[in-house]
Amino acid sequence: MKVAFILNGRNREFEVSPEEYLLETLRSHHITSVKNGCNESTCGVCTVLLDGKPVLSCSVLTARIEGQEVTTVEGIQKEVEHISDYFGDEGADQCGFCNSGLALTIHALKKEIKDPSEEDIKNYIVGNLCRCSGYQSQLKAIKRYLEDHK
Amino acid sequence: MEIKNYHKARSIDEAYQLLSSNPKNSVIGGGAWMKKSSPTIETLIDLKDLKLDQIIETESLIEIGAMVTLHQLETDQSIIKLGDGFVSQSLSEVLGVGFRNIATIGGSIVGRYAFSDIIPTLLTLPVHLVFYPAKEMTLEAFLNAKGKVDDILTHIVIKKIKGQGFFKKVAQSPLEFAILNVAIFKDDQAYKIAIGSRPSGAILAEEAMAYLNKQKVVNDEVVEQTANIVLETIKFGSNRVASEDYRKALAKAYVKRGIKEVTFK
Repeated sequence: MKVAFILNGRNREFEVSPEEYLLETLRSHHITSVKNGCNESTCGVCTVLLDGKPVLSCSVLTARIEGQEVTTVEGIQKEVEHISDYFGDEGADQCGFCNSGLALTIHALKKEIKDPSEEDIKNYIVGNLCRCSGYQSQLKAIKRYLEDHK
Repeated sequence: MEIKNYHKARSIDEAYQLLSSNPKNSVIGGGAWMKKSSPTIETLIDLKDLKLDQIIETESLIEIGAMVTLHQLETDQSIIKLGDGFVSQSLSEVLGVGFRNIATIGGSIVGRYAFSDIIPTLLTLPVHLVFYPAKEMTLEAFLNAKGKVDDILTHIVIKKIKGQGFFKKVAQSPLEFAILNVAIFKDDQAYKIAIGSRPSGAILAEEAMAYLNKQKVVNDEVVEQTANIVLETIKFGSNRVASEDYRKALAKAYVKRGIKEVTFK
């Protein structure tokens, strides 16, 4: 079946099977910033924005998103670069595998919650696992980024 | 999992006719657990375009469409106000935001998941379910009914009620299933106590509620006795994450804490 949706601001059409997940569709078309981690709705590395909201692309059937808007880090490149600077300053980067999903979640958090508390931030990013950093430096970076971009 | 055909329903009746036409057809809610639970599906029926993603608050009711996502529900003002936020809290403890933007309240209920964090809180409230073509029942009656769901859940209706709520999820980490869930709600009339992830599905602690609701004064002795009745009358079990004894110890502690919180807060 053919499914048309907006990917990072461009109209795209993909030939997919009814059981194909968005993660597979994106990665098989070279959008490899979207990572495949647990592939069972838990780790958050496959996060993309669907109509501006963070979702786990490993659990969204591509067939269902006809006409919707999908954003990956390529679609908000400038903001991701800013976020990366804060991560770099705080030493929050190690392998980087979780960064794309986390950056998209931070982008959504910034839009959804004005002036979030530390607890709000923790609750919002809890679904984005990092296997190496220990979260403290990430949390510092996110707090500083959100504070500076109110 | 194999899905042979995908169909976006144009009306609820069309979805129902299609569902009834083949036992291998299935309705999709959010689809968040579909990978884990579904065998071969002949036609997957999507209710996405049927405007079931709305929350309507009236003077006495909150009517929730079955396709409302858990995050949408969690952040809705009418839900935040219920029981001092305990429904919203239980929703917020379901994995991460990325998951809760997919999972729907309809799918969470129809799945009758034993590990559900939301079912225990809803069990303590006056909740009834509306199915197409013509069936209504309480949440409790639905959970007690066995077998495949032949009708389509369209709405979840909560009667607005003033009171104090308590919810506790115990899990090894925020992204794991609960070892135990305890939900307690107290209005002007009575207490309701629900226990979930026992590891079996959530149920109301009827005998403990009957004892507690008979008491003229709620003191430490009454709270202790209520918790003891919960342990005597509710079946707990063991699985790979926790033993029956550990679940009982948790249930006792949190039932006591919850009753005190909703009584004296």
